[in-house]
Amino acid sequence: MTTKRFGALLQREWMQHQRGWWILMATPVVVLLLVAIFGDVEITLDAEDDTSVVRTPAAVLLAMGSLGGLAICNLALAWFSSLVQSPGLARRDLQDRSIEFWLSLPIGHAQSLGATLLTHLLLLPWLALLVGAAGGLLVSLAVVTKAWGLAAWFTLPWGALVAGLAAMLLRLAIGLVLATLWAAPLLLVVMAASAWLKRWGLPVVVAVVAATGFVLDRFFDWPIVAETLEIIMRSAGRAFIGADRDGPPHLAHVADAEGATQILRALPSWAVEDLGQALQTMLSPVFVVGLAVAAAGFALLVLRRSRGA
Amino acid sequence: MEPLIQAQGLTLRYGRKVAVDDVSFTIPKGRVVGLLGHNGAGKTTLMKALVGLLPSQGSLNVLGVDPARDRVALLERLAYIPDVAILPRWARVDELITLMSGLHPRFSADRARALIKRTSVSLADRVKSLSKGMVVQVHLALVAAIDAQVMILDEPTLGLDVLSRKAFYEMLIDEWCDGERSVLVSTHQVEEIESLLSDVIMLNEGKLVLSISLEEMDRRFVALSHDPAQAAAIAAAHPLLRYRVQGGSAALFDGPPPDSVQALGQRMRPSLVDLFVALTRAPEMNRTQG
Amino acid sequence: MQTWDHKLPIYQQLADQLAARLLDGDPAEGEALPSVRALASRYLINPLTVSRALQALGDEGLVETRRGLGIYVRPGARERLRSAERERFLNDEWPQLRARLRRLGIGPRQLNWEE
Repeated sequence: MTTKRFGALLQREWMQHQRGWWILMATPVVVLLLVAIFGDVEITLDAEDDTSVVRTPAAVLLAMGSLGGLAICNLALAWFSSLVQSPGLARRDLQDRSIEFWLSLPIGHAQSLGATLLTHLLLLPWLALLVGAAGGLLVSLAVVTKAWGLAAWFTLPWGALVAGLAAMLLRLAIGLVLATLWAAPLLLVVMAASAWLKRWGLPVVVAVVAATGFVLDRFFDWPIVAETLEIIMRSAGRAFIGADRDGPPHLAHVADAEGATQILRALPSWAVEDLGQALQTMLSPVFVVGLAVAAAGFALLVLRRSRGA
Repeated sequence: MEPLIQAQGLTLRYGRKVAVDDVSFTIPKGRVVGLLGHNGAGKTTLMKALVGLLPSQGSLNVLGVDPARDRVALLERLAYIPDVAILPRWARVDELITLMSGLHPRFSADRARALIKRTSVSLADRVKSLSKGMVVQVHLALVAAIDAQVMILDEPTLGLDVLSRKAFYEMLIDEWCDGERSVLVSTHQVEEIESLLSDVIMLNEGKLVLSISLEEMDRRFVALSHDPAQAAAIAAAHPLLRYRVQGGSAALFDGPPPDSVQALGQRMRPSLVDLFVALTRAPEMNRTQG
Repeated sequence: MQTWDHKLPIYQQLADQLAARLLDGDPAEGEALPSVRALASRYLINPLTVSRALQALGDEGLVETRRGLGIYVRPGARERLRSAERERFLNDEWPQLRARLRRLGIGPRQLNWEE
């Protein structure tokens, strides 16, 4: 199977979904831009003496918030959107019967499914991440200018900001892959069930999992299902960001430029450490078994496609 | 010369139902084969097996490979239109051309564009805005732009008006009748397509009823038009079918009837339609092979 | 689209049509007939059937195949066709026509030969 053909498969995804994707990626940016222009940003801080103080955060803090916030927001939105749509993705092309058209072309089943999954679960969220960062730049301009004037935006510590942002983007981009791998068993099992059982796929999976968990817990005192699900979800979340048990350098008590810039400079090294922790978590039986289950789900999808749907 | 398609004892099942039962035939190169059968006779199932979409029992060899095992390699040299217009509705025509250029190694975008220019469809049209007939025309144009050795078409003219059907038949002759390629086409428009065929395969309820060249068919089957008064004598010779033609009655025989009977009428050519009706509506299977 | 009648095999009907055109001098003697593919395209007939039709014409001595060049009308083909048509008319059609004329009471003098 050549690269050219795989590239054409990716191109198909873009052609079919780009309109929805642009809306998905642009909406948070537009919304936040409007909020920035028409709203006010203030934070409530807990002072040492247990009273609350309302302050306008430092410019650099505003910039960090806009850039990082939008990037994460876009990424999460895109990824969750793909996750939620994945059962439908397994049954795409069935209603207009165009699946038969695709099946009449010389494309392997695995490559076809792989291209779809790759695009929706990785490529789109990555793109959303970049769009979010770019949008964040725009929002930061609006927010900082509103609070501190245009000059303040230009005098932001751009060196540190760019470095910090790049580190975060990289961490998130890789984290996305890891989180997707963690979620893969759930994702692919639901997709396979959707492909084979149509509308009943998701309900059946939920019912079976819930019933199994209940039985094992109640009658064998073995709450493995709930535990496994919890591990998966926690690990996936941590894989994105925050695998480090100590958590990211605390922004909660910081409102001044000095403290914020300090945190900013510490971000790159923190991101590396965080990634290391995330990778370490993957050395667990739950993860390995999960991958095996995911592979089985994928095989079932391939089988379904080879039978004509 | 290796035949392009070879089936031996082919049996196909859907669950417990046997859709195609012990069918054997050969398709050499340079042929246009009509696949005839009533709805549910197994035509679509057979075609699906030929392109590797169904597992099969028995032996099946298409362009030298086992379709189910080497589906992707086979589809590079075999063009398949499964049933009616099934093009993705979200796509624009030029997007489909771009995608096919990337996905199919033997697809010619220039050829596709030239063929579509001959229709009333424009490259910027979206499939969902096209009428059914126009979608079929686009699909046929896309497939005609593939340099394939075997074409398998499941009712390609469904939904096309007379002019479009004619354009399709012209394209079939001009593009695909070079003596090297073969076409397997199923259709209900038997009369219209008869002159384009070189061979015919008839299925009835999953079983092969006839697999014969049209030349052989002309020689083997005898149609006699006769006076209604001779009906009893004709019937006594056990024709396959008795029917009415303009100005009288007719009977169809497998093999020449005795001379005395032949003298009662006038020999006509056995039309494909009548032969098809004769062989596929008899309650007991008239299993013959060419 | 051309519909072919039920009496004769399609290849025979095509052969007859080609012969009729030969009789009209299209193509002339010594000239080449259109290629098999051209004929197939024109009449919407499978090329194999066209070949059979040309074979039939060859069997009647009307055309000949020149290796690598095509199928050519043999000299004398028109005359041969004309005499074959003449035979057919005199043996098959004329007796029927004559019987009909007699039935209608039309004699040679009522027939307008000059037109």
